[in-house]
Amino acid sequence: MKKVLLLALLFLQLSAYEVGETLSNEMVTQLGLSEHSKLYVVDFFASWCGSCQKELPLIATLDHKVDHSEVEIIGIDVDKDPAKGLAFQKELQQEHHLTFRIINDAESQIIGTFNPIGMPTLYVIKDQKVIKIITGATDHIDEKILIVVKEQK
Amino acid sequence: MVQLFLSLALLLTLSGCVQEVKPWEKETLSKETMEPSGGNALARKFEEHIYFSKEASKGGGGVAGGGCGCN
Amino acid sequence: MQLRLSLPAMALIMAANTQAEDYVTFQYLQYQENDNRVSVSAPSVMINKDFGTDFTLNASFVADAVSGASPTYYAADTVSSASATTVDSASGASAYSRGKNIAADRVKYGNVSFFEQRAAGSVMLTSRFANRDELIVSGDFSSEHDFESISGAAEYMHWLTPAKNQSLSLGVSFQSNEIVARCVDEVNCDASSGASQEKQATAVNAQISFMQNINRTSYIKAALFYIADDGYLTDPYLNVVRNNNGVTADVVGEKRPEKRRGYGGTVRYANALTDDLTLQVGYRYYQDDWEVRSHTADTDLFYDLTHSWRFNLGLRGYTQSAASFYNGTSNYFTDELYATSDYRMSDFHAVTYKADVRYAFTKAFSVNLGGNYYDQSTGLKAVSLLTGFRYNF
Repeated sequence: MKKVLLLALLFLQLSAYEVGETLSNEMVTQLGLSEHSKLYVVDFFASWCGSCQKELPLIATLDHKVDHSEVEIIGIDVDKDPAKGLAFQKELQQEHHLTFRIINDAESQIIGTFNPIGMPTLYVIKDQKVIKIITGATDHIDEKILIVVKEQK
Repeated sequence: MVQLFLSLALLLTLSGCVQEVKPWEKETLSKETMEPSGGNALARKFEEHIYFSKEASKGGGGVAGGGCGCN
Repeated sequence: MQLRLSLPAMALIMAANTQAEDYVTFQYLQYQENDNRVSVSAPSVMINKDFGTDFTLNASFVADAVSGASPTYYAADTVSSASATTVDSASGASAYSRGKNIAADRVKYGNVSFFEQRAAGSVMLTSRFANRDELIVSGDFSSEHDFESISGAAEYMHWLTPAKNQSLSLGVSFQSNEIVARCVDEVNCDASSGASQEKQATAVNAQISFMQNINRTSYIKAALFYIADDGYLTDPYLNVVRNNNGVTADVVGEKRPEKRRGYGGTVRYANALTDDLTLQVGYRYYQDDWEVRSHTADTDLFYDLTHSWRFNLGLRGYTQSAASFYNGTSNYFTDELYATSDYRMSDFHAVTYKADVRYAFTKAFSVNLGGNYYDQSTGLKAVSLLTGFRYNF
């Protein structure tokens, strides 16, 4: 009974990119994920999201550890108010030396397509395919992603 | 009990009174002013104390968590 | 003890909020009642600290000094004027002022002075699981020279759906109180020693609550609660008058049942009307087997003028019926088992007006100043001023 109800509630959500699914060509072009065999880490965040504020410095650290010919990190800022988002990004760049590419998604077009179940959500993508999704605040996320990177080598 | 509340949740969603809030749409719900304490937990504690000591009722004053799922 | 500042432990579980943040806040409360009754000055501090993403620790401490006078019946000295008997708390406030078979014209109603110091603290740990369900455990203590209280509480919050728009919480708390009651034995009421006795009381509180996000700017939360109090629930400083035949009367300690079962429900609705304006409305119903029944309604309006200025206006209304064993007159009680003339057990209503302002100098540092005016139909009026700061680190 509980499962049926849960499924019914889930069904009300639109479909999402799940592990194993292939991203549309439009999305690949829009996010710039076209290099084959390169591992892309797409991280959705917002300035008002407390857990994102904890996660992003770790992702920035990770970005400095990886080989950029193999791994690329892309941030997607979903702030509705672009001014708030840009101020937040500036803060991250100054205080946490965050240097990876950030795409602004004020209209929720990108995140609406990915449709994650929580914030922050991080997608690991290779050859247009979603190979891992990490949702919600996660301790030591940098190390967890490094493990995925090693697995994919 | 969980089933009861799930049914209620489903009913509310289907009836249209309640709209599904996406995780990236919770900026407003995560605001301090949406919390029962309005962002000042100590002030709220003092208020509850005073009412508890001047009135004959108690209970219901404090429940954990706010109205959001942003963590 | 007069202003028994020990809340049921459940009420203390409230700081774990939507956005975990590291902060320390200091708040200073100044509370003053009319007619020079109770006056409280209370500094307090709270610290909130995250450990990783799965644990949040919240600790708070308050020290308060309560002085003033509390109204009750007392037996005036034969030569006394209408002024209240002055005793210090250490020798047991109303111990002096009781008596059996005294002249009826010695029965007075007035303020009995006291002074209290209290220290209270609370520690709360929130743990989050992989599905972001939360388990909150807390411990509290409160200590006065004649009253000790410790309590523990646990609450589990479960997200009903992966989208985290509905949650169900179940909480229980247990509180154990130790009360030093003087003059329990009415006959051998020794003024200096007060013939004190240690009394125990316990309180169990259970609560179930449901939260639903209605849309991206509003949510509703409803709860049902049950409270069981057992043990010594009498206020050792309050008196009643028995067997007043107009010539003689007895002024003796009040007596309440050793058991109280209460239950009720609350509902709260919060709506961000605009980006700057938030409205909250709450209601509570309470009822118990002492026949106290109450309704509480409150509303708060928050206005963010700029990033720095935030204004808050609040209004609260309260109404309760009297406990079955309450009577406020001096010639009512005879041999009833339970009797109280405590105004707090009477039939009354009250209104609170609230206003406060917060100014943030930076994202990390803000100061606040606010005031409450409380007006009870029993004649009690109180003003409280709260000022403090918060630092996010």
